[in-house]
Formats: sequence, structure tokens, C-alpha cells
Amino acid sequence: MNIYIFQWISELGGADTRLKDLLKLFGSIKEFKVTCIPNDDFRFLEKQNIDFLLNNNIDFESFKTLPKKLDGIALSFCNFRLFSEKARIDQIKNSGLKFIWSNDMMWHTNEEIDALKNQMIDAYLYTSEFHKERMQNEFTKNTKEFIVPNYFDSNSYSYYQRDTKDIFTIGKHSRPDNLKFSDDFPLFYNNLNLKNPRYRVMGVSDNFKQRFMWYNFDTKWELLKANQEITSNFLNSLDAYVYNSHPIFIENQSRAIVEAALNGLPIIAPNKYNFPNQIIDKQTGFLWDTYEECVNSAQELEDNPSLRKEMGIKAHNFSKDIWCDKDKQLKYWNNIFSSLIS
Amino acid sequence: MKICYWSIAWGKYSHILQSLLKSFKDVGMTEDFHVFSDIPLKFAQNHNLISSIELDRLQFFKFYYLKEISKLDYDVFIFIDADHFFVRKPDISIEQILNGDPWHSFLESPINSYKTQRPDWWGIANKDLANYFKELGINSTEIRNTNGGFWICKKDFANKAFELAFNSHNFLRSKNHIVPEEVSIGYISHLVSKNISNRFAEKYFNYWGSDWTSNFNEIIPQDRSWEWVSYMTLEKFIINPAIVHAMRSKNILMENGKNILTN
Repeated sequence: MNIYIFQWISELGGADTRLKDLLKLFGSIKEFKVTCIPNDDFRFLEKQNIDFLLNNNIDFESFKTLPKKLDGIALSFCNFRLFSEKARIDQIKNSGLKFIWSNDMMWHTNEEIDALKNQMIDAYLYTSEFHKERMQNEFTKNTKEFIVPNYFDSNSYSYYQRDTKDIFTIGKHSRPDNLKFSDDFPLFYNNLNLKNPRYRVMGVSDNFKQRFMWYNFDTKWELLKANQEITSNFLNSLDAYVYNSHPIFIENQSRAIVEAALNGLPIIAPNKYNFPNQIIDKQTGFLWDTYEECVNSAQELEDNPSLRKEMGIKAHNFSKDIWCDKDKQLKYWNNIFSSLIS
Repeated sequence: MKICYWSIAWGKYSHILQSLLKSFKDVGMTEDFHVFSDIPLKFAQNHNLISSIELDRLQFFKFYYLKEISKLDYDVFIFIDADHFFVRKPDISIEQILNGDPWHSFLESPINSYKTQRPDWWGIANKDLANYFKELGINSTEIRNTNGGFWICKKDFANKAFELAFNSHNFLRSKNHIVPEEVSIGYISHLVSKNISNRFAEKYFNYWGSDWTSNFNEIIPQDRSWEWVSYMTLEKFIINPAIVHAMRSKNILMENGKNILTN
């Protein structure tokens, strides 16, 4: 079966990293013939990504040279340019491909809604029941709807055994987006009142320092740009993962949280959105309703290295079972493919 | 730390502000005091009102003026409403009040405590406001009202304060609550304080107090003890602050200001 993926891979952002792990899976299935089509041809200059595709049996092709008639499946996660540059979605649809669209965000765009109205989308994917509950509307209901959770390639996210140190390092990583940080972010960490903390944050934007210029980032802080370190190395340096984002940002199915859990980190996150489906409270981390609970959880983890270890192991095992199940993930996809191609 | 005080006034408030300026000088304050006013005032560095800034009913003009004043060469800007009066020189420094934070307003009285008596602040039910603040990212358990008449902003926080003020205002507007700048000022104080108890009014009873219950009913405030009523809980405290928010003395302060200007 031909699978045309209208999206490109990168090391940053949930949708692109999701695709990357999925390509490893699809590339291992001999019945699948997978082709990646980037929005822009300059992406073919990204040697690292080209090597990745070649190593995983994935073809690549320019949008411009794509044959006008095709047979198979078109798939995309969050590539909104397919809709905002309407010629793209028109070409996909006119080619004869069945188009599967996964909007991993928590909002629709007008162009996406137009595409739904015009029946340009054959299957609409959600990542969770929570996602579906928030995103389903009269237009998505006119398509075939499926829930396909995130997938993580288990070989890419191994458990890391931590030594006990005097310094307790907490942190988080994300894409460099202002919404990934609350307006009081430095205080959010600072006011945890840890005894001997270090704060490592990867994914600060160019304007991060300006945004928080009112705060004196002392030597306890290490602010890294997005992907300044390889994600696994960054996570290895932490003792606990403390989630934070702007209050208006609704997290769907945070890949960052799963990456941290697979790495063996206990997670502290608010008891809302989709977090209760990603973290078992008091087992793989802590879910907090009040900031006071967040403070208590962080302090408990600082004071108790064996609890950190115990939670980290549980977090790894739990996440591996849920998110790295190759067979289950394939079942999801085969079910969708067979419903579209008889 | 280079500090300035500043205020905005027009009409009768310019005369009231003149009283404040004289009291500021009389108690021995030496910092610069900038005023935006429709008439030149004594003991101040005068600036014209800025015609492009609308003097809106909700008093968000204060934030537009903050953006302007923060261009001046000071580290800290202390906004003070015209109807304040210095009865003596304060014995606490601005550095002590800020305590490392970029912003200060006095958080007066809890809206979500078992002691709370009033059902709302600016028409927003206490429970709703506590939830809204939580949605806006406030982590503190206790939420308090504030007084918009006196607040302190560090230079490098001015633009952020502007942004946060309008973010919170627009959020509340989206919930059908159109409230004055005071609520945004309170929001900022909760949001960016390392320890919000550093903003609590009771910590500064010798420094600042708001006479909303008319202890100085149309008399010029004096250096003596008076009864302050906590706005939300109605608890009573005897205080003697150096700076009185003399909101019930406006007429006498206006007459006083006129006399100062003409003599």
C-alpha cells in the first residue's frame, strides 16, 4: 500500500517527532511503501533527515513533481499549510488519495474547517478521548473519526539510571514557544523552595530573556535553546520533570512528558487536561490541584532519592507499555487504512 | 537604585495633586516627582498630558503612561494617585518593599478566606474571581483585593506589566466582567511576587493605608493613629501610616492645593 506523508520530520515539536517515530514503524512494514513530501524543497538539503529516511526505507518526493494521479493514502499531522495554501489540499484530493488528517493541536483553523466542510478530509484523527472531546464538531463528525494515540519508538527512549547527587535538578523541554511558559515561570520553579536546586530548561526562545528580564536568573538556572542538547542527554541531566506552560495553553498529549517518563523521570504536572491519562498520581509522578501540592511534591522528591528512583522506574515501565506498543499502534493504522481502501 | 514618583491629574485632581506634592516636600522626601497634568504644579517635574492617551473611565490610561514614564532614566517608578498625602517621611525603603520583585501593590484583604464578608470585588463573585485568577496562572492559595492608587514598577518590568494588565483585563472581559485597572494591578501583584505576603497591606501599616472609611473626612490627614477597615473582611486595625490614601478628603485637599498654587 502506498502511503504519502505530506509532512517533514524534525527534532522539534510534537507532530514532527511523532512522525519520526511512526516512520520507523511504517518503514519496517514491507507492505507499506512510504513517501514523505515536504512543503518546501529546501528540506531535501537536510542531510541528517534524508539519511534518516533512507535508513528507514522511506522515499521522498517534491510536491511539485508528484504525479497528478496517485493511489493509496495521504497522511499529515498538523501541517496546516496544506489548508492555508489551498492548492496543496486540492492537489491531494484530486490525485485520488484518501486523506487522513491528524490535528494534534487543541484548536481548529478556519481553513481546516473549510476543508472539512468541503469533504476534503476522509478520516479525522484524534490522539485521545480527551482530544476528541475537545475537538469534535459537526464537521469532523461528517468524516470517519479515529483515535490514534501517540507512538514512541522504544529504541529511541531508554531508561537512564541516575546517581544520587547533592544537587536536585528539575527542568523541562519544549519547542521555543511563549505558550510553553507561564508568565510567572521563573517564580513557578523558584517558589518550590527546594533546598539545593538546579533548574535546566531547554526550549527558550530568543525573546525569553526579554520576557523575563524582571527576574534575576542566577547560577542555579541553565537556559538552553531548543535542541541545544540531544533530548536524551538533556533528560539524563534531570532528577525530576516539572511541567509548566502558559495557563491559556491546553496541552493535548504531551510528547515531552512521555519522553521524560520513558527516560525514567518522575513527572510533576497539573491535574488537568490530558495529564491524568499520562501520569499515575503518586506512582509515576504527582498531579497537583493547587500550587501548594506542587511544592510539596517537588520537595518530597528532593528529599527522597529512592522515591524518585521508584517513581522513575514505574514511569518508564508504564509509558513503555502504553506508548511503545508496536503491534497495537499498527492495529490502529491498519484499521484506518482498511476502512478507507476496500 | 534610582527612584521616581509619578502621577497623572487633570481638572480638580491637579489641585489635589498639588497638595500631595507639597506634603511630599514637607516631610523631607527628596526623590524626583514627575507629574502629567493640565496645569504646571509646584515641587514637581511637569509634563503635559499626552493627548494620544485616552483618559478612560476604567483608568487603564495609567498603563499607557507607565510605558511613557518608564523611558526616563530611573530604575523604579512609583505611581501614586493624586489623593494621597504624606504625613511624615516613611522609614522603609522601596528596595525593602520590593524585596527583589519587579512590582508591588498593596494586597489588602482576602476575597477567598473564611473571614471574607463581602460577596464580590468589582462585581465579580469572590469564588469566580479566585477561579479566574487561577485560570490566569495565579498559584497562591489566598487571593486578595488591591488598591490601584499606589503601585511600584521596576523599569525593566514596565512593558510586561502593560501586557499582563491587558491580558488579564481582556480575559475578564471575555467572561463578561468589565472592571477597572485595579483588578489587573492586583493580578500582577499575585503573579510576579516570589512571596505574596511581601505584598500584604498589614506588613506596611506604618507606611501606607487607604482611608476609605472617612477617618479623615474632609480634613487633611495627620500623623496620628486611625482605624483602618480591611475591605473584604471588615476587620478593624489601628494604623498610623506615613502615606495616607486620603480618598475621603478630596475637597479639602483641592482647596489646599489651590492655595499652594496661588501663594
